[in-house]
Amino acid sequence: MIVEALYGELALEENSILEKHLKECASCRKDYEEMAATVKTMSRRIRSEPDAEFFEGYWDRLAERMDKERVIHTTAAKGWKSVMFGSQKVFPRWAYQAAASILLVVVGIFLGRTLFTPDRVMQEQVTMAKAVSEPATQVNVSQRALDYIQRSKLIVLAIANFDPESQDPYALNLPYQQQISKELVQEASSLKEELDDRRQHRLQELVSDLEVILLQIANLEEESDMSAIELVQDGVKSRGILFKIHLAQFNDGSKVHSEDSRALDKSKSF
Amino acid sequence: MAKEENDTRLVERVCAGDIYAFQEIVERYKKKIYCIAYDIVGDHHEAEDVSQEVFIKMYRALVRFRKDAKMSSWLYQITVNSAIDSIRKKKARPHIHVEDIEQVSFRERSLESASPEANPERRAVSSLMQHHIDQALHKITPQERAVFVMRHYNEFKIKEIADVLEVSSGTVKSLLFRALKKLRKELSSSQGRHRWEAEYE
Repeated sequence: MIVEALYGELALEENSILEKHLKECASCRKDYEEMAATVKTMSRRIRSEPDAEFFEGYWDRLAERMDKERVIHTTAAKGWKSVMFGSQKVFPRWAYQAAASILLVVVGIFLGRTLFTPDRVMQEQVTMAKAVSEPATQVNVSQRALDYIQRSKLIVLAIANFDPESQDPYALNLPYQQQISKELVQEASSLKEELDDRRQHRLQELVSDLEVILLQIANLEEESDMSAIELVQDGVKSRGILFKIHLAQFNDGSKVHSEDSRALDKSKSF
Repeated sequence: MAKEENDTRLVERVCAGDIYAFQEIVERYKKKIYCIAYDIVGDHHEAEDVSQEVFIKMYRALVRFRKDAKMSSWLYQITVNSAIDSIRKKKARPHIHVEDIEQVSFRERSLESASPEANPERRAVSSLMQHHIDQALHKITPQERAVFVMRHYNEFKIKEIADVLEVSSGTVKSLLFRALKKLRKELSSSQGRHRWEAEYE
């Protein structure tokens, strides 16, 4: 009762009972007075708080730590920080993987062109793109969106990482990228409609952003038009497309961590 | 109530794969979580470490979060348990507590903003008093300290503390009573007490 009274949590009736008791009981009165003095003294404590800058940078530091811990546990999601802070010199692992995939595709097309007629190659590419773009009925819409994002990422990365000063524009194989971009643009509208759950709002936004970029790529007039390619690169940068893609994929990967939550109960102190 | 509804929605969004919703939760609770952690562990670097752990544990365990539970209570419970665990781990390894330059600078700034008009002598007395209060606070057990700082510095009612820590109100009252008794003893035995308390009055 004394504790509640000290913190003003005692009902009026209980308070009058306590007051009456304190008048009669010297021991309780001494306890009460001493504790009231302690409460008063402890109230003079001034918490030494860090400045606003500390809290402004809090999320960045937390994100960096989460990134590091994921490397330890899953060796995935490396590069969140470098994407977040715009580092262009050190690319994350997925960028190398994507670049390697694109290189393989380019080599494959080069070999294909030397062995088969252009019409046949194009026909096969379109067939492949259709097969890849065809929505799997058994896969849920979020998974389809992630699949869509992954396929778009390869195209976007090829354009975003293209350096006109050191690379031959024809190495981009723009007609192929444009063909796939067209297919992806066509798929975007139905996918956006299916992503109607408000929890999928971010995915829907990302698909919309990608649609705009892919449409720009699909409409590029010629491979040597560097100013148009730079315009697409600026669009990728200003919309934070690569960062958003990485977050969506990071978040999808993080679901495997549910087992870690079991450890939480074990650390209970109360 | 509206805020709690928002919290529930945010949790749903995080579970659906929206990391921006997680960022919103962090932005909403970072200061309070940090302050509770700091009040318990008494060190800024450790408090940041604990508060980050809280959000990471929360993120990983979110899929198992009961939809009918109050997210903030759950978050505070993780905070208290993580802070107490951190103290235990710290005790297990040899450690000499040295208040670093940053810590002292935080304190000086806080004292200045609390009483900008105070003269240097009065500020020194106040600083000494702060030191004794902090020392006393860290002489009580981590459980007693957790309950005390929640009630005294973080505006939780006794019933709310009981709900957060999943103990009875009686246990909270008992811990608070013991904490206050011990604090009184510590403050009384502190050598400089009479000097600073008298001068500050």
